[in-house]
Amino acid sequence: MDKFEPKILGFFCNWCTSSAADLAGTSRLHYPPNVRPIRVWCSGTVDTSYVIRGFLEDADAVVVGGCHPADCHYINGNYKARRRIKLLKTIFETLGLGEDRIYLKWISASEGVKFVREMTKITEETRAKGKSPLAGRWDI
Amino acid sequence: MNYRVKANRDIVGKAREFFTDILDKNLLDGIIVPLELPSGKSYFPTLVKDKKLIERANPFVPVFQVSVATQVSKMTRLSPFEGKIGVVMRPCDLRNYVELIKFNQIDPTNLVIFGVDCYGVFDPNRFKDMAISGEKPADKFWDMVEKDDESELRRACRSCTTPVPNRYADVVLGYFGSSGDLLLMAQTEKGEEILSGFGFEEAGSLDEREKIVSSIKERRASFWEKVKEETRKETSGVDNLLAFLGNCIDCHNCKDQCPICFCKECFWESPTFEFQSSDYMDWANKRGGVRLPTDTLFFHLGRLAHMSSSCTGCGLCEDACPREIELQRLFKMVGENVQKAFDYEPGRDIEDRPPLTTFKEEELLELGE
Repeated sequence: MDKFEPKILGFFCNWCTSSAADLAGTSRLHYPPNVRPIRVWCSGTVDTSYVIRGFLEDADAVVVGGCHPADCHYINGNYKARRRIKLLKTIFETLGLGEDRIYLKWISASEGVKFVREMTKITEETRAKGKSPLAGRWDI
Repeated sequence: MNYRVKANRDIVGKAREFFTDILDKNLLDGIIVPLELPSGKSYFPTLVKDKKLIERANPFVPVFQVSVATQVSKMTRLSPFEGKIGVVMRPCDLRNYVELIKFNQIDPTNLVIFGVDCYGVFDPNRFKDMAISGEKPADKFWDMVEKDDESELRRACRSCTTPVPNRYADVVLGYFGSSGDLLLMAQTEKGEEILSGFGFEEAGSLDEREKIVSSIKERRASFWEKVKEETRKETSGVDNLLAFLGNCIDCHNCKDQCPICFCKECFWESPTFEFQSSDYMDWANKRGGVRLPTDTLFFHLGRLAHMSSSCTGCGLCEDACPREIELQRLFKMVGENVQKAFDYEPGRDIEDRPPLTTFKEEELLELGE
């Protein structure tokens, strides 16, 4: 059997984490191709349903990346994102759906190296966990 | 101030007299109270203007057809009532009411809230069957209260730890520990204004009431712990959860009846869920097949994300489910954990902000690195 390659869905804010991904690229740093980045204006725009839909569409992990606390381009979007992630993690934990597959990362525009490090770490962790229990179900 | 109306066990009769007098004295311009329908087989909340109709009223009726909070929300959405309107609510619905006020879905101007003691209610279908077969569930209920036998009440009520109204009731109509009398308790100035003109006698000691209420709470809390543990086992993991929700037909009745699900334009009814045939084929290609209707798990998980922080466990979702999915215990279990995570309790304080409408800078520091 082929080695399991996790699919990781990333919602990265335009101002920080997406810029960090760009910086990683222009710096010629490599990060695992398992990560599918989606640029959003702000981590605060990431609705809980985006994350749930991600898992139902076979993501093995979902990462929300935003600006560090106090650095949000829209003043407080990242604090709202943090509450939503807490909510989702609590629901997933209660129902045994793998709350540890939901990640929230603060990565600023200058942290290309941190972006690569975190994406690599998440990919390795998820590879070790294996397929998400929600992935690939026809009966959902 | 707490008052006692000698009732000699005719508590409903005394409550009717009380409401009739209120309308008679023009203390209120109308009262929303459960009324026996002309068929004699059912009760529904009714906005009563004609005091003659109060003959059919039963504020304690052991059936919970719809959320009165939702009805009041509908009625006050465009404008508040001009005259004073009394609203009879059971404790769980009173908590729904507080949540809806926080979400700006109810204009409480000119509302006078009559909270009632609630020993619990029958499942609405069981109530209907009993009423049709002549078992008189509304009368039978009082025997059950007296014997403290709750076995026939619905599970949501047997695991409910708030049998008495919270402080947002202007007047409480009580029967726990009343020795067959009707207790009328003013909790606010508005409530006192209504009660003070009647010349009721003072209630005297309420120790017996407190004892009974706390024993009910204790018993129900421990029953809920058991139910919660079973629910956790039955719904933990995708396989179990899908087995639990497996009969969902995507009718959205649970959402429609949920007092907390107040959105006029629901995300789950939106064009987001109108897919191309090719989308269905994509899923089928990827997963081997696709259950139809699809996205029922998404619906329930999404609804948990939307409303579990304010879920009061009232059980109207479960009552509305045509496939008898035991949603109440699932939602109450998740809701409790979510509410704990944000140190929030629906209905506790009208000034509390619902968790998803606010944030603090210094919190949840374990999240985000």
